[in-house]
Parts: sequence; C-alpha cells; structure tokens
Amino acid sequence: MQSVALQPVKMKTNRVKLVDSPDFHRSSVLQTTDLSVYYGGHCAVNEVSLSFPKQSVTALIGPSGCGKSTFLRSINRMNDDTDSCRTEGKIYYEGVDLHSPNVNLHEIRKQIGMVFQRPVPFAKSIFKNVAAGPMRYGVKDKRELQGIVEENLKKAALWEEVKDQLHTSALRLSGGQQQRLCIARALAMQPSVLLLDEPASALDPVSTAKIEELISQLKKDYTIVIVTHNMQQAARVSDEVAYFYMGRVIEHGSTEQIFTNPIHEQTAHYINGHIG
Amino acid sequence: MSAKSTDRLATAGLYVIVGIIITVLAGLLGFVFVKGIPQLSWQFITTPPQIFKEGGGVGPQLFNSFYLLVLTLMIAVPIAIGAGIYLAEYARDHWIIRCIRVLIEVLSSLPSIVVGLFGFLFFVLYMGWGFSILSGAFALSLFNLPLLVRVVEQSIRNIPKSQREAGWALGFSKWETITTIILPAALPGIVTGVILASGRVFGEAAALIYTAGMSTPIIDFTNWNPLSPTSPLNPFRPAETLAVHIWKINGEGIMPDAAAISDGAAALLIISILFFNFTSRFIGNLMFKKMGAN
Repeated sequence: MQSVALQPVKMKTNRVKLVDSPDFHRSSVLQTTDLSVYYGGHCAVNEVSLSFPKQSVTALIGPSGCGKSTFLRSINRMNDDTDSCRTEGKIYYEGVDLHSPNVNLHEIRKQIGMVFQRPVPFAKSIFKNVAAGPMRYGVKDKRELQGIVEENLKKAALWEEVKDQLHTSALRLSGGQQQRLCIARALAMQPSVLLLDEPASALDPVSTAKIEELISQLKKDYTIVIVTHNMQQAARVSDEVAYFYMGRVIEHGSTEQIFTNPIHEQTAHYINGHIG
Repeated sequence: MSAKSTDRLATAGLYVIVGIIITVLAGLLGFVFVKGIPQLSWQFITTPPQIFKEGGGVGPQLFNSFYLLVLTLMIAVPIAIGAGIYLAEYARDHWIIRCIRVLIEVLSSLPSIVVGLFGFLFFVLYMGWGFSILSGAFALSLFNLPLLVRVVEQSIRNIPKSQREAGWALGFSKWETITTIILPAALPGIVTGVILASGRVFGEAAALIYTAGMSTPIIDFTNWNPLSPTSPLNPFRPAETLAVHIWKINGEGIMPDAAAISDGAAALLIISILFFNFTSRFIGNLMFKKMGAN
C-alpha cells in the first residue's frame, strides 16, 4: 500500500460546552469530587476526589482490589453496563458533570478514550480496527480514512511495522503490536483524555518499553490516566501519582514527591514493596 | 496397575472406539457410493422420474431439495439470528427467559414426524397453502429453529466480553457493537450452525411427507416466473425432495429399476450434502476474510 499524504481530518465533533461549575478547577481537564462506586453493598471506591491536569500523566497505584481500576472505569462510565453497580459523587470533564442527564454517553466515550489490560483487537484488518471509530462517526471518504489510519498508527509508533500489511487481520500481530493498535484505535477517535488500565501488564519487557515511550510522547497532546502495578513504570512515565488503598486515595502528589518523600507511612510501605 | 499402563490401556481403548466409529462411517458411505455412483449420469440427475418404465431420473427432486433448502434458510436464519442475539445479549436471567430456553430444548428434540403433522394441520390445511414447497419450508424452519437459535446464541456468547467493552469504549452503542464487532466475529460459528441445519433439511423426509407432499407436477425448467404453476420457482406447488423420493420408491415404486434409482438417489443426496457443506464453508471463510481484511 502506498502511503497517503496526511490530510486535515474533519470529524463531527461536538465538544461539550465549557460551563462554570463551582468546584471545578480550570487547569484540570478532568476532575472527580467525592466519587464513590458500590458493587451491591460493597464500596469499591470511597469518596475519591482527584483532579487531572491537562497534558500530564497521572498514575494510579495501589494493591490489587484497592479500587483503582474501578475508579478508572467509572470515569468514562464503563460501569454503567454492570448490573448492581452504583455511582455517587461527581465527575467533571471540561467542567461538565458527566452524570447529568443531558450528557451523551457515546460522546463522552469518544472524548475519553480507553485502553484495556489485555489487547482487544477486533477480528478485522489492521486498517479497519483503526478506522472503526471514525467510520462510526461519519467519515466515509476512503482517502480521508487512509489519512486517519496512517496518522494514528504513526502516533502509536506502529506504522513502520505494519504499513505493508494494513489489510491483514489484526489478530496476526504480536501482543505488543496489538496493544499499540488498540492505542491507535483509541487515538483515531480524537479524544482529549486517555484512560489506560494496566496497558503493559500482559506484555513482554521490550513491548512494555515501547508502550512507556509512547505514553511519554502522547502526553504532549493528551491527558493520560494510567493504572499500573509496576512501581518503576509509574516512576518512569507519570507526572503525578495517586496511591489507592481500600477504595480511598491515601496520598496524591507529584511523582517525585511520592517516590522520594511520601507523607504517609503507608505509601512508603507500598512503594518499597511491603504491602500488596 | 501403574499409572503408565493405565494410560496405555485408556489410549488403546480410545483408539478402538475411534476405529469402530470410522469403520462404521466408512462402511456406510462406501456402501452407498459403491452401489449408487454407477447409477449416476447426466441424464439421471436432469430428467424426471418414470413411473412404469426403466431409465427415469431424479432431476426435479434434486432441484426441489435445493430450492426447499434455500427457502427454509431464508425463513429460519434471520429469525434464528434475531433470537440468538436477544438471548445472548439482551435477555436477563428471568423465569420467562428460563421457560423460553426449556421450550427451545423441547422443540429441538421434537420428532420430525410430529413437526410434519403439525405442518400439515397448520400450514397445509389451516393456512390453506396445500402440499407446497412453502408449507414444507415453514415446517422445516420450525424443525431447525431450535438448533439454529442455540448455535447462534452460543457463537455470540463465545465472543469475549472484552470485545464488547472495547466497542463501548469507542462510543459504540450496544446495537452498533453487536452488528459491527460481535456478529462478524461470531460468523464462523453461525456458518457451522447453518451447515448442520442444512444437512438436516436435505436428509429430512418425515416432516415433508405431509407438508411438501410426495409428488412433483410437471415443471418446465425454462419457465422462471415464480407465479406460474409450471415454474420450478413457484412456492405453492407440491415438491417431492430427494429424501422423500427415496422413501417413496422403496415403499411403492413400481418401476423395474426402483432399487437402482434408490441407490443412485442416495449417493446423489450424500454428494449434494457434501457439496453444500464445502461451498458454505468456503463462502463463510470468504465472508470472514472479507470482513477481516477490508
């Protein structure tokens, strides 16, 4: 396949309007206020208030079952589809309360992209995997789609490896390539926030390094929230760290501060490998 | 007995069982082919049967079998896909749904002669369609729906939940996720179900005797107007299929070469099933590749 010159991409985007709300900080694109998530009677996330500054990487760390993944999934309302799951508190995205009834759920998920722990390529070609989102949102022109696919595969650092096999099945790629493909697929939606749920935990060290490098690249344009179990990874890629324990945020601060001079003894214990 | 010799014994036992199955199958197929294939000729598969004389063929019956299959699948597959999607994606665990599942199980074990008699009462008499391909197609749809629904539901369920979440995370609605991601991925399973059902349609006789009838009017293979009574495509004409024809000439065939025709028709029936099997697998693979690769 010959490469196609990048063209400006026109997609139907209705960015939700910026409105003033009393407890929303202007500098952050995303913010939660007293967010609690319950599974039946069990409180998985307990009154978490966090804000995520624009174009930064925030790592959510903590032992298994501490609620960090649940918290992440409640940001783009993936838990809506889980029976017996109930959410309280507020999530603001660019000042808009995501739980307000006139917010379009699909628009939220378009602007807040998500990448899962295990790579989940669709049983389609590489091209169609990346083009799935834009096609859903009305891009029909073939050249335009090619432009979008190329641009986002380049952003996800996968283009060089797959440019000659765009029309073969995505299932033939290696795990690391599949995960970068999923990142490209999320980026093709032109989100402003990316939620990464342990994106490298199922990958080998080389692929992990590539994903981490990619995250450092992407934060120039996107606000990234990443859940990770890997302390070194959190230290390498993030600007801020939030330490979760039993559904609560114990400590939130800059990565440097958390790793060199944590305020809470518990945080220090976890970072040094004494808990979890 | 040591673990090693137990293992050997079990392995040997399994080989014996597999050997028995293969011998029986190969024996059956070999018997049908050895007796039947010499009877096959272009004339045999294109001309209509003779009632009193030698040298008749099974042309209309062969056509009827395929036509009935196409009509049955046209009725049953869309319903089965709809029902399968509902049961796999939308149905909640509720007593009504559990009842529906039990009913589907019961329906799937219904003897085909009962389906035939129901078809006779309902489609032939009550609906007034007479002995016709349409009555037969509806009866066979009824007969095959439980199998198809279960196969579709199962192949949709086999697609991991992560695929659905990945669709939702792209802002796809539930329905868009099903149609653009889940169904294409479930296609190979669905094709397998369709092949299973087609084998049953080809081989079915009991349910057709009382619905599609045991006779074929004189049909004119140059007349493709589905409304004309002599057209092969007319869905309201009686239509004897190959399987019904084999059953009939073995019971009441008075042509001198009845046994030879029955042998030939049996071989032709099996060849048709194999042919359909391979083509639908091929088409299924092609569709899957097409969706997979642009």
